Amino acid sequence: MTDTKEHLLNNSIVCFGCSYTQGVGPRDFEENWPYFLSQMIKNKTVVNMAKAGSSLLHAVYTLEYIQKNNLKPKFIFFQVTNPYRLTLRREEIDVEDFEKISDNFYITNCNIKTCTPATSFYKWDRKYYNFRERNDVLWKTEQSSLLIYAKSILKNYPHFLYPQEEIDIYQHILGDWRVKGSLFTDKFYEKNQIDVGAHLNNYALKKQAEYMMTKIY
Amino acid sequence: MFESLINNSIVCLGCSFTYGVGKNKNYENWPYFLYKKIKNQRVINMSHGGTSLLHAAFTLEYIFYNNLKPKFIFFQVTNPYRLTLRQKEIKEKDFELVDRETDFYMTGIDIIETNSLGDLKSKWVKNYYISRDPEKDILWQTEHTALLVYIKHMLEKYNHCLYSQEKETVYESFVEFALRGDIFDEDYYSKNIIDKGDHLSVQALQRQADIFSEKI
Repeated sequence: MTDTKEHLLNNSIVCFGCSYTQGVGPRDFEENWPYFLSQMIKNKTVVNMAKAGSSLLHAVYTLEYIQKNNLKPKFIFFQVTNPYRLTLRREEIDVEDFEKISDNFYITNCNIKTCTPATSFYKWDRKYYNFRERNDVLWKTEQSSLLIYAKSILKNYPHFLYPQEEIDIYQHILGDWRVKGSLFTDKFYEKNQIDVGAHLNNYALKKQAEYMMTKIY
Repeated sequence: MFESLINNSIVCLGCSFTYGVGKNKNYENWPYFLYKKIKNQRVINMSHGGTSLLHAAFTLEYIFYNNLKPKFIFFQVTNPYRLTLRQKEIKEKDFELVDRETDFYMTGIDIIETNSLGDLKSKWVKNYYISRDPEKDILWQTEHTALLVYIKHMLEKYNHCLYSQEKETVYESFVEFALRGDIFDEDYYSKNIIDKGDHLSVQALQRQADIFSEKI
């Protein structure tokens, strides 16, 4: 168990998710919406615990860390990731994983293997994806269980749970709100998209940060 | 709500501890003995040997999302470290009447691929298990906790009994009891084991059915 008294996450704004929250490119550590949020609210610490390419299971594992260590963040943003992913992780979260980027902004470092259909590490994980993505009817149950569990943890904290884009299998649990289609129109989103992974440019990320700030206050 | 066999039935979910083993498994499982004991009450054994907890949760979802009304659900938590692959949704035509004189059903046998550590169907699954070895991959525990939270969430709607066959720390706080240790003492259980998978003798299964009949 971590020494929780002076833990960085107490009274902080904590963000979970995948690359939509972590950021992309060589300056991903400061080109993400949580970083822009930290620039807007200087008197609060923002901790970006999102990991690019990671699974919903990994994000929920990270969320568990807050509950298990009885931490008291001020607000949690939980971005639901693409459901069809496998992440492997060998080590528990450690306080030394948190890296300071600016006076009130931190990211986390960890050694995980994120196997997505586009970035497979082994021969077998491609077969795993081939099978489970195309044929397996159990995915939906797996992801529903993770979302129900995430919701059961999040209800103890001020929070905002949302997906980036519409994903059918989540709708019965998450409702209709999403970044693409609700916060931004499809036209605005596509205009500000910088790659095939549907990541946004800094202009749109700052707009997102402005909107997210209204959720806290 | 369609007129399902499941309405007003007793439904049993789990792995081989519930499904049965061996040549006579259709008649040598505790739900069958439960059916014989309580009479005039349909019992449906929806468990499958070697399946994952995810698969059992999927089966429970079928009841939950179709708004079916079983009289009682027995949910046996399976071994957590398993991968089951399934390509087809559950259909009522999968339910098989075990014999014409009974009102006891089991469900589709050939529609899933069960890959337990002792029984691998595809080569890549072996590598999957090596990479996700519970000694190394720390995400298993979160995965199973999530499934158990979800299962409890669904079971709240029904009269039910959530239990495990053996004691495991990963699900200890979720289940009402473990059959081995809480219902049957270690001595009795060990004496009635019939194989390396810790499956029980017919005599012990009948006793389990007797005890479980009192829970309904």
